[in-house]
Amino acid sequence: MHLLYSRPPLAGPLKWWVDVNEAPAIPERRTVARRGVFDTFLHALLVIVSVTFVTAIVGIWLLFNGFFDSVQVQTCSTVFVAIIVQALPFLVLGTAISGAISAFVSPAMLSRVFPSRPVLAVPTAGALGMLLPGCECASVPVAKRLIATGVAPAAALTFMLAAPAINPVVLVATWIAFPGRPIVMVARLVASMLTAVITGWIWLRKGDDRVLSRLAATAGREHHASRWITFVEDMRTDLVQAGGYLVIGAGLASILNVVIPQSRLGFIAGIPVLSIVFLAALAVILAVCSEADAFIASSLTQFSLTARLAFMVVGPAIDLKLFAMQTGSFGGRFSTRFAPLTLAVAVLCASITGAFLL
Amino acid sequence: MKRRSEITITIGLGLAAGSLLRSGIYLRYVRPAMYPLLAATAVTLVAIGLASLLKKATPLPDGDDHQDAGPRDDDPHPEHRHRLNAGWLLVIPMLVALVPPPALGASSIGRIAALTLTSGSYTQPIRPGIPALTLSEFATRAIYGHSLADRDVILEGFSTPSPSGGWNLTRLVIVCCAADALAIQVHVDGAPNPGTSTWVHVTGRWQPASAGVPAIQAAQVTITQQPNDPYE
Repeated sequence: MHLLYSRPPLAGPLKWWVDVNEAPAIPERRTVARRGVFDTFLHALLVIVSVTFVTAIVGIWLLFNGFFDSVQVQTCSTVFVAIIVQALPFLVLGTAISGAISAFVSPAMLSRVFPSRPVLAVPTAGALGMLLPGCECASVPVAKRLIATGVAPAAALTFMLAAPAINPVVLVATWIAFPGRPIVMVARLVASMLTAVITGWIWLRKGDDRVLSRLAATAGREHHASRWITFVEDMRTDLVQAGGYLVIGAGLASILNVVIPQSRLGFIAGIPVLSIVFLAALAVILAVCSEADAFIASSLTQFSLTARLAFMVVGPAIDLKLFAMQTGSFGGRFSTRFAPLTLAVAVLCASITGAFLL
Repeated sequence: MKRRSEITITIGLGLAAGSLLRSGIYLRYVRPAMYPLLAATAVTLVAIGLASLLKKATPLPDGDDHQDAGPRDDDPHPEHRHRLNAGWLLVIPMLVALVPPPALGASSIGRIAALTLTSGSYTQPIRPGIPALTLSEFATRAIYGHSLADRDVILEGFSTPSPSGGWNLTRLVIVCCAADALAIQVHVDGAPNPGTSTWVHVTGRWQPASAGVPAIQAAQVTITQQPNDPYE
């Protein structure tokens, strides 16, 4: 059975992130709980004091250098906070689902949902993507847990690409953003689905599951006293980790969002092939949430519908925020291979779909 | 990353989200419709943090009813999740939330693309009296119909200099968050510029577009405060 994907044992070089100094768990629960609360409190206090201190020094230095008066810095920090505030609920939703998969879903249950042959599991995963309403931040941790629970990596990755692109909320938003032209919504559905499934199949044939290295270090599920503890533990770990990479992605996106003026991009619109590549690149850079990108696309009126379709197909599949989160969940060796693959497939699928439908 | 660091960050993040909600500052970044989602998020984060705090996780030895997906026999440290982690970076947005940056305004207009208005909306006659219209409604009606003729209306927005001279009344429209803001502008005639990025109420009448931008002939311009929700 191909579904139960067996992972190679932990290799030596992975050991560097294993903290061998961690104290072994003490069986006596009451003491542990009390000490845990006290330790955490002390720890939190220490963190708050040191962070405040460092921030104060850096902040004062920047203040005297007129840093905060700069309009660009202000806009940049507004966009940065905005991306994170917007993404946070979906990140929590995604990690809650990933924690629930880890705690309550057995490989046997998933094998009833996904066909045992990965070639068929990939399109099934694509179709299941229609069920998870939310932005792309939700789908990365879910995909990670699906792999950890035994779904073929190619199928889980297809789910990760499909979920943010073709869920009902996104499709309705696209329908509203292009009034009188429902064909744009259809084209988006077709192109995004093709992108997800084709990328999954390519990964199945050519991809090396061993580069999902970071996952191998966390994937072994821990056995806790109750499933609820497993849920809380895994959700929290996924949340903090994915959140950290969301911060990196949001930071990069906010800087580029401010540096690159959307209002002065019209000069490229007339050049057919270049305009498609250009809007695809813009989608990677802007990292707007997939529920909003249709409205940005509809406002880029100088560009052809096919170029704007590429913007909407690429954005939910790969952007700076997603690249950072994939690096965090699956490791840099994975994301540096998977991101270019996704981008190429997405641009091609959007171009071909656009040529036929738009 | 240490378990207790994760707990600290989870609770901190929940509290930061809660404080942005309580003060209403979240409206500088996202739509008002996000309130219930964000509230649920804040509660969930704090709850997950507290639950982890009160219930110390003690991994059981292998061999219970869980079916494990990966080989683990060779791993002497079951709690091998304490690796270096980007999770600490979540402290940055928490700190920024302590000194929240302002909403997007006049300074970002040069960068932001204009909203494309669509013909399908606002087909009913406008309300009687002197109605307050959103800039989207005014501009849509101005472009696609004549339902504004001979009617006084009130518009709210901030002032930005117009490239063709004079000034525009401007509002930013967001769909999800401030990262996807688009601008909507109405040219104001008949009143001097109250000063760039000043929030005003403009009372006046529709007039034919000026250089492709919908226009209003102002009878009165009143300076006002930035509304709680600065976006449309």
